[in-house]
Amino acid sequence: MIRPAFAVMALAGAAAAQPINFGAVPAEQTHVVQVSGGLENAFVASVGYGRGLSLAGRALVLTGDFTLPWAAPDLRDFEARVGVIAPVVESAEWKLSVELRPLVRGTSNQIARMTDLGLQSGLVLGYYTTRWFGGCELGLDWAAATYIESSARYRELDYAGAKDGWYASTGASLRGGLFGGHSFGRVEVVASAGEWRDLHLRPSTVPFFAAIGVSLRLPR
Amino acid sequence: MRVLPLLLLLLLASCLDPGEPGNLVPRTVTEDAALPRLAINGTVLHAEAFGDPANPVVVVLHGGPGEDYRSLLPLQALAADGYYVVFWDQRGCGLSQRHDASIYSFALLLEDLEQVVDHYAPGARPLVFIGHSWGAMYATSFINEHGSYGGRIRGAVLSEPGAFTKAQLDAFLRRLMGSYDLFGEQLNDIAWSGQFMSADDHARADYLMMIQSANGAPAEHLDPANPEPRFRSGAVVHRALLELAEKEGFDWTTHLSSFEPTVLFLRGDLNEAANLASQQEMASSYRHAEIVTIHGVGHSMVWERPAEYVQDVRDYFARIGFAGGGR
Repeated sequence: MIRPAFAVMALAGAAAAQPINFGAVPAEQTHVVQVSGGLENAFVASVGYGRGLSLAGRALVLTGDFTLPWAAPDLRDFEARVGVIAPVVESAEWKLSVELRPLVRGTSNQIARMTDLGLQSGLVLGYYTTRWFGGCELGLDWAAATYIESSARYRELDYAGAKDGWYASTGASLRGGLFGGHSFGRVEVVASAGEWRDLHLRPSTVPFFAAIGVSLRLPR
Repeated sequence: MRVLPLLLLLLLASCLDPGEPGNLVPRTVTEDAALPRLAINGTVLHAEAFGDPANPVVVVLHGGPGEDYRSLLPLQALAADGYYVVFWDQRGCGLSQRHDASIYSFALLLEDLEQVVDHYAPGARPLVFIGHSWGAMYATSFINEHGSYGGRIRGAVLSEPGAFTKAQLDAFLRRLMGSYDLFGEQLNDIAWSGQFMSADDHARADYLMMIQSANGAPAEHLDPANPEPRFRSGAVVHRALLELAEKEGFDWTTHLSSFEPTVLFLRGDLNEAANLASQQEMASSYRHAEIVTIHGVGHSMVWERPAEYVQDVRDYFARIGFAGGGR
């Protein structure tokens, strides 16, 4: 049986990869729901669901979540992700996990409407006990392909020749941060914070993130 | 399963390149031979002039840093008054040639402007600067360095410069940035858009800046119903000059008191960042300065109220005796 405190950590998180506590509960067949919020390229709120599984004797968690910026809500600004996080190296309470989260993200502004198909990937090194967990993460957020439709304003005022269509690899950012959480009963509280940098290590538009999430493990 | 990565690669290869000039942003003078240009000081500028080249010269300096002269084109009306009106996108801005951030210095910008002046106003041709926002700061740095440039600079119209010193810049930026609503849609759009595009090349950096600067800062009170047109933002120079200011500091007031001509500060009364007190403080650095206010308009006064702006410029030219050719 896989040690407690695994499942909640992988889910927790809006756009920030807030961790699941792999130490608190057996991961297999664990169902987790979570709400979270924070500053993550805007003030965001997320809801998510995670399902713990065991594959070839190894724990992993499948996740799905939906994020909306809540300041000046606009349904054209959103992010939806599915993902998997799985420990690849374990030693007692220490775990090094890999996460992969394909995503679709949208925005609409004065210049264009954009829909991005992307991928978040990362490494999470954590120390997990039944009650406490914490660690660090490094990740990459890649806007792999983005559909850009220029606004009428942009065409009329700025550039009539702008080309609409799918654009490859429009952006990428590196993420580094710390996380920590506490488990009590079926509930986990997780917090994370860190920095965003572009691939030249310059600060991103919003150069830091901070989020807090509350997860509830559902009865099996 | 082995086919999937190949399919993904093929799909990505069929996409447009965001870094290719002409796709998301227009081509610059180095990519479009049809654009009017001026080659000086190791760069190629997007530049054009209106009127008789023999007439007294008006050199227009756009804002930013990193914007362009498109929204200032109503000033070409001055050509009909007998002036030779020069518009140019500063180095790295608008449709001018792009450069790496490492080349920028305030000394280089002064060389650029000196060569622009010498090209369009050769010999002893009289000239006046019209500088908007950063352009007013740029003009002041030139005057502080060169004075009247051998008596050729007969005056300057400075519209809402942000600062002449680092301390003034810090205060200005606090007013500017403090005007954003932390939970408002504008800041939200600026922040959220950063995930879709990263500044990995000039085209992407410029496009991102065009998204993020589309409406100006709230304190500037631009009219959302009449937005300024733009050629193309210059993100690298924008960032480079702000970093230079932060790192090196600046004080462009040290010799202004020896500049004899009267300088006009022409402002809109709605602008809360370049407010009246800040304009009065900067005007006091010049020996002779006057402040004229256009009411009911913010920072985009040239675009939104061209007739009033041009008339105020004409009146100023008359006061300082800067007559157009043939007058």
